[in-house]
Amino acid sequence: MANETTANAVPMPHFPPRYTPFRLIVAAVIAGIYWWSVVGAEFSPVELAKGLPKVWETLVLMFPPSLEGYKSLWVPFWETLYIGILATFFGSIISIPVGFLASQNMVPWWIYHPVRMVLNIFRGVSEIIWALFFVVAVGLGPMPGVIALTIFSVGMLSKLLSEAVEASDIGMLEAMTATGASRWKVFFYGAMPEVFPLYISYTLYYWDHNTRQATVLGFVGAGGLGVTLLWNMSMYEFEQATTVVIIIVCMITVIDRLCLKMREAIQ
Amino acid sequence: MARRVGSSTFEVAGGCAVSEQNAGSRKPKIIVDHLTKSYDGHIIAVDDINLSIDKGEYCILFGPSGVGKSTLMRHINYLIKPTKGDIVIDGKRLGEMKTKELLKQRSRIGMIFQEFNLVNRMSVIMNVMCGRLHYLNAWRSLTFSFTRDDHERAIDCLRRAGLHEEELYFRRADTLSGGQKQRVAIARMLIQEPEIILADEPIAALDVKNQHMILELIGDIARRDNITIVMTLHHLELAKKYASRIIGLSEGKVAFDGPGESLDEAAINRVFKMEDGKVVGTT
Repeated sequence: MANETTANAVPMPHFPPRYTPFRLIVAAVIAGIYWWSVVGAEFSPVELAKGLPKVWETLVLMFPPSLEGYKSLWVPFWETLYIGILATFFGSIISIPVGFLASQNMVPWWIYHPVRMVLNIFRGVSEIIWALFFVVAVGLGPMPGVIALTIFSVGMLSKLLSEAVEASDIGMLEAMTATGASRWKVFFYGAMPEVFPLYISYTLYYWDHNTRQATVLGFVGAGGLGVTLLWNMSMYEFEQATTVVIIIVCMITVIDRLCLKMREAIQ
Repeated sequence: MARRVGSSTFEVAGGCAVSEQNAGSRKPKIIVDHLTKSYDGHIIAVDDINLSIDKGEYCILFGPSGVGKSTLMRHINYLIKPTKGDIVIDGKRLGEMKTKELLKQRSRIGMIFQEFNLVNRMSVIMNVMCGRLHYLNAWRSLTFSFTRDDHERAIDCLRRAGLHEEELYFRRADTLSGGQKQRVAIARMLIQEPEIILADEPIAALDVKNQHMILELIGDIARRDNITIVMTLHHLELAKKYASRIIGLSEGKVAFDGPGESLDEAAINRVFKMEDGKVVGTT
């Protein structure tokens, strides 16, 4: 019986070899790139092991967290929240028209190409560099932080929105075009309702991201808890610094959970 | 019998205006003038087609798939722009219109589709009111606030399209059945107060009962308001039953043009390129 099954079995196709010379060369090139990076970055596990006692010493200095002067944390705490909320608000609003102008299926190439180039610059330059630039331009405080994060959010959200619009159902866009609606109305009524849940989801993600970034932007003087953290570290007030870090972690966790719930509600 | 309009049948006179010399005082609603559409310079979807369609005609474009029916139809509202030739509606060439004029012209050409193409996440009534987008000002468009008049028109059109259950009007479009969706799409087309209706395989996604209901509904509306219909359809029997004129296309050219009753076996074989009941080139 068993022999019969074997005899009647479907003939197996000839499988291609698993290790081809091409694949081996690709693997060697990838390994080479890793090695090159390890050498270039002077990454050494030995040095890391040597430094471990120092890491431990610093950690000991950071605990227990100190609540000394906790009242002075209120202002930077709120500032961080404001920066995150405002940057996300401005970013999400501006990204709608910009997303339209960056969509290949909505505008001619001579509009979307330059717009995409500008968006690449918005995204390519990191938030902290934008913040540094605007601290010089408009002075210290939360304002340069808001502008920096808005620019980065516009860069990201517009790109994500335009990609969603490009992937949206061509039939709906065609139906709207056929009513005699102008291009932006086709975008607003034919594409936006369909990509709306995705757009909200991205926006919520960037609220989370912007609040996290707002804590870092303080390092270059753009307001928020980062300023306090930098101050504490440079003054060797490690216990107070720990308190700031804990506040940041709690804040991000709460926002993260909140965003998750809101995203679930929209789906 | 044949109503194909040869190059000598009409001449372009004075820019946009077109006069039909052999037709006396009868003015065609739509003229397809030497229309050619090619992709990548060599794939020809529509090959130098000339047609003249009168006001109130129920015209069905018929033929095998991939023959250029939908492409030809989409030229009539310029969703697709021709490579050569043009479309003339009421004596005006679409190719010579400015964007604003073209949008206005499009707003008077209703269109329905095989897959209905409703915006799923919008309510039924909003979907219908989208047919009024051309007339909605920028601020109202940005805030999704249609006028009271638009609401009234939408409800009237939904009723004309046979949707009387008011409970449906505020439901999301994707909760409706296929037949209901096509009725909403018809209402969206009706609110445009169209002079021409374009229908791209409007019954292909429907069951037999709904197929007849939808074709009758479109026919009734068109008869009442003297609307010109251009429809693509691949059901031969239905095409014969409802159309006042059938245009058979084959390889981007007109292979038959006449009333349904004159569409005999020979003509069908010509459209489908068949010999002895078999498609040419198959075994």
